[in-house]
Amino acid sequence: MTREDKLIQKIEQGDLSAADELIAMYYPEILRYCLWHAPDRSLAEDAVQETFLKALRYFDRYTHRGKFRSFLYRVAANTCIDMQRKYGRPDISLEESAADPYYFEPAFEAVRSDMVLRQLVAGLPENQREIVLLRFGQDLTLRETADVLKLPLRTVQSRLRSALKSLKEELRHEK
Amino acid sequence: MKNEPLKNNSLYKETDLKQELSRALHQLPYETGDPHLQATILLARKEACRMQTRERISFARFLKKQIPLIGWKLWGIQGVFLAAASRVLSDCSGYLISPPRLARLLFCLSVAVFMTALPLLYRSIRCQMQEIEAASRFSSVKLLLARLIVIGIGDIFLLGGLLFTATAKTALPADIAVIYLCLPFLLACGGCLFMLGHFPPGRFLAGSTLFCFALLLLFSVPLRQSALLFHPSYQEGRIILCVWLSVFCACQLRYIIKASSYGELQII
Repeated sequence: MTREDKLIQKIEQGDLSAADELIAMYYPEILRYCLWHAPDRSLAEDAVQETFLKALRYFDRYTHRGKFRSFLYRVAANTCIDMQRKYGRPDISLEESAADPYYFEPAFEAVRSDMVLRQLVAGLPENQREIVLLRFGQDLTLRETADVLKLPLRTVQSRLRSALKSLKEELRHEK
Repeated sequence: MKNEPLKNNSLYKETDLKQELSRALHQLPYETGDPHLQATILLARKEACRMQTRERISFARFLKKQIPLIGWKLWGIQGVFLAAASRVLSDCSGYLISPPRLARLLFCLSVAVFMTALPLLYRSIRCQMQEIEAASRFSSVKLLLARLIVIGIGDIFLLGGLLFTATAKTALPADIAVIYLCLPFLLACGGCLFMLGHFPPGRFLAGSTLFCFALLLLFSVPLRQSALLFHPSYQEGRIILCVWLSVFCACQLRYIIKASSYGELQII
């Protein structure tokens, strides 16, 4: 039994203090996910908070079969969709515009390369971008990604392949 | 400073790309010990306390509470209806010697039995009883299910009473009378459950009432085509129809619970 299983068991038995540890465990990755979907950090933090509160409210509808992560990401995804409907989509280009493209240093080159990749990911079609974010940004397995997005596994695999192909093409053009 | 090009993308392997993606997408800033994390934990504790102080009630207990709330009204109306229908069957037993006439009457009475519940069903849909949901932590769907069970209990007794009267006052065999009562009831039930799951709440009462009146018209007007429904020799066909309609009703109920927009009105 993992630590997560024990915490969930405690919560099911009514010990809601175990929820503190579960929140702390998932907070960083859910924040990272929400930062991708929010126009700014403040709204991302609100979305994270709302995600955990909703997860707690709907907890009695969750039957633990080792898929709490998928359940939590589903709640986060729906919360972000609501937020985007209200406040609009994030503009990733603003983050990258601060960098001087002509300044070279080895460490900075790696940072710039990462910025370019993030911009390219932000430019993907939404159905591909979400899969890339969940798979590589949030380290979900393909099956967990399929669970969160309520898509067949094959569809997720196919869209991921298309996304990686597009990114490779874009990187070639970047040269 | 020269701006050196990015790595040689023509030799970019998929594994490299995946690793680069993973690194790039993990790099959004996050500080450990973030005060916002503590604020979230605090809010979660408050939410947990608020949820624990709400009354928890089992579905069976909630169902029992529906009886003094709405059950007695509905069953009272259905009791009056049963008395009136029994009187009609008794007084008209001479006129109803002809099986098609008796069949038509039972068909119409069965649809009327279903219609006794429509006002209550509509009220449940319209009002949603949000205060009770907030107190009992039930969803709109469970509330509707509780109402349907109360309605169903009344309908079973009502149909049973009609069956007893019809077999006692006329020469109609019980097995045929059962189907004469079940078939139109299931037809009305299936149509209205379909509307419950697919129509907006505001259109349910009008739609279901129109549908039931259309059935009454179909069964009461002596049309040549509808005579097939009442002929004693088509009992097997009627039984098959009953089975099919039962499955249809179950599917509609499942749809309402699992997939319809009815559940979007949930508070929790």
